[in-house]
Amino acid sequence: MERPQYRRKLVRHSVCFGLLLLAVLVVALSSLCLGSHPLSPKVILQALTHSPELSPILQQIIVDFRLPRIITAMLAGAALATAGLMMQTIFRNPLADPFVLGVNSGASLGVAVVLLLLAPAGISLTESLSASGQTLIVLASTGGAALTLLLVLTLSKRVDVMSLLILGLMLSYAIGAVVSMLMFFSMAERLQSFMNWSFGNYGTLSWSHMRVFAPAILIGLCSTLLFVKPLDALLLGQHYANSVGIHSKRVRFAVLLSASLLAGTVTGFCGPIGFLGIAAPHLSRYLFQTSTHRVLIPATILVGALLSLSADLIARGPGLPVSLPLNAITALIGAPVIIVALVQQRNMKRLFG
Amino acid sequence: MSTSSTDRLNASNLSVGYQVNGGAQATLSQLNLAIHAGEFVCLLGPNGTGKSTLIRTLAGIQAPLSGELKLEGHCYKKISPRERARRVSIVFTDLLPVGMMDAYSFTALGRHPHSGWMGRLSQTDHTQIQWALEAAGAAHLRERQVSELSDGERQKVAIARALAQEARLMLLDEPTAFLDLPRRIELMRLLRDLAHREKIGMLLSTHDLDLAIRYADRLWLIAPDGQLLQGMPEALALSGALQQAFASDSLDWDSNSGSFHAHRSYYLQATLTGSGPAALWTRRGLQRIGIGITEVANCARFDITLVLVDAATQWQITDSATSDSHNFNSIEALLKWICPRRPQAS
Repeated sequence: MERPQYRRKLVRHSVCFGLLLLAVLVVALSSLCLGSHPLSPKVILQALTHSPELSPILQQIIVDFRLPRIITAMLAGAALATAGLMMQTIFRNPLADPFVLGVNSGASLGVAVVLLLLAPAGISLTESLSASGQTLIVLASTGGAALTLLLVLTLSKRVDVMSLLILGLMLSYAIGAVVSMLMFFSMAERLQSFMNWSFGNYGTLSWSHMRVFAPAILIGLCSTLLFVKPLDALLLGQHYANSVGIHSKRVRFAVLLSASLLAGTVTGFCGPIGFLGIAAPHLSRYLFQTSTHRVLIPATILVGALLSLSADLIARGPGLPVSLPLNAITALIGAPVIIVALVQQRNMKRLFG
Repeated sequence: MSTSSTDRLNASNLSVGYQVNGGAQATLSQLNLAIHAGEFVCLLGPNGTGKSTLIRTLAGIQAPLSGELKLEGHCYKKISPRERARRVSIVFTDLLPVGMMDAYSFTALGRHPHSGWMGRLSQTDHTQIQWALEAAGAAHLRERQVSELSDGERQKVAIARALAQEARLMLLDEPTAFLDLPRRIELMRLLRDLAHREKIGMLLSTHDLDLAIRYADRLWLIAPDGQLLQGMPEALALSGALQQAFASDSLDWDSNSGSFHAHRSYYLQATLTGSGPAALWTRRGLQRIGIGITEVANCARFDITLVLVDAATQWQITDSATSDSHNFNSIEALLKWICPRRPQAS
């Protein structure tokens, strides 16, 4: 193409992609180095190459604790960001996030039932399932998320997009109310463990969890490739999307399924993590100045991974004696991002019409 | 109605409307319609008579309540959405405020039915997009953000997008609704010329009766009783069908000028002698302030004569009630003089 602006755009996109990739690598490496015990990059390299010179304890810290945590942070950030992008396009609403269908409230109900209801009642699922406590929580929250998703998707075929948004919101409120009731009647000690889950945490995944988590997220991310074209068409609204040959109802169902699986998996393993899913798409649009999904999806994956890694790095509080709740950090990073994008664009209302 | 090979669209015994509480609510029924290649058809009708419903049904977005609908001889139900999208394109009233998209990328969305699963554009696609932008008179807008375009420019880009689809039938639902008069005329000419040149069958719904009569090859007219009348604009005007469909207590069909006028009763009459633009605007001005024009001298209160003095128009007026005579060298002075002499309308 001989369009000068087209070439400028291509240059801008290439530069942005390059810088993002570099930033992700830098933050990931710093995350490996920094922590309760700072380590030099040389030690990290030795650990990753299984060098015999390194002490087994350092080896374990890096390979079994820090590495899975960083991979989790990247995958979770990418998943939430992509899910958020798809939800925003489907609902044509800049405020939509991965949890608009109530997936995270479903997950929190599952966890609340296990931690607040079953455990105090003396019903120990841990023994009968011969699973560890962490695995149980993962099962409970994934199950809760899946049930909510099933309910909303069944209803989604009957109503239009705007009603679906309100439906998800109402469902979230209702489930939240049930969780509040459970919390009201619970002991302080039980409440603490539930609160800890609801803060979100990337550090609870072991390599055995990773064997389920990573493929689920990667499959979800790959599935978004199928939606590049239909999502572009849906930017114009349902009627126009239909008129260019998109089966918009089928696409909507598939996209909601994919986005909710991504969000549900992350919530299941890491707890509810807010703001990444809404901030990353906006930051990507702002950086790349486009709404084409062929560019936006990879961009959002990188931005999501970067924001998520940075939030986790701050939350772990290198140099501090305590670690901070991850959810608070994502909100502290996410809110300014949205505000900056809003002020710079001035026309977020016009994003989807 | 026989099906010929150049028919873009055929409908027989078509009923359109909505399913309400399990029952069918037809807004238009028993329609037998056809749009031919290269034909520019305007759909006219008062609000709420089902113009948009009909267009959505013809576009295959909404299922007909009954009857048969064929796109270039193929039954709608038997072709895939993608195949349908290659044959029919649409332009709606809504102006599509899509953020962060330039007009070129926007037009490129029209290539969806032709591109692969990732939507990668080939050289042919780029050529077609460029052609569409030029044909719609929007080539100079291609680098601009769609959200920053004016209403008229955005509607041109919307038409370019539809053209890029390379469909041989184009349905437009009130594309001129938000435009000012010069822009509306420009758009109607553009669309008619496109239909004729590219052999596109084009159906456009509009409220703009005057423009529709001037530009359409054929009119589809929805009468107040729900009948759809078809015919050339001139034939419908002569037969009185247009008048029936639109005339009301406050609106008069002027069979001399071929347009509707707000109905009003004149308290005073005047005779007017003169010709050319000055006479036309004098007549309009007098009518505006409530003075009718008459040929009969003895029921006129004023006698107005236009004379040329040194290549400039002068207005001579005689008030028969007071036998005053005056000369004015501007129409404004004339009308200002008459105004206080009108009886106050009750």
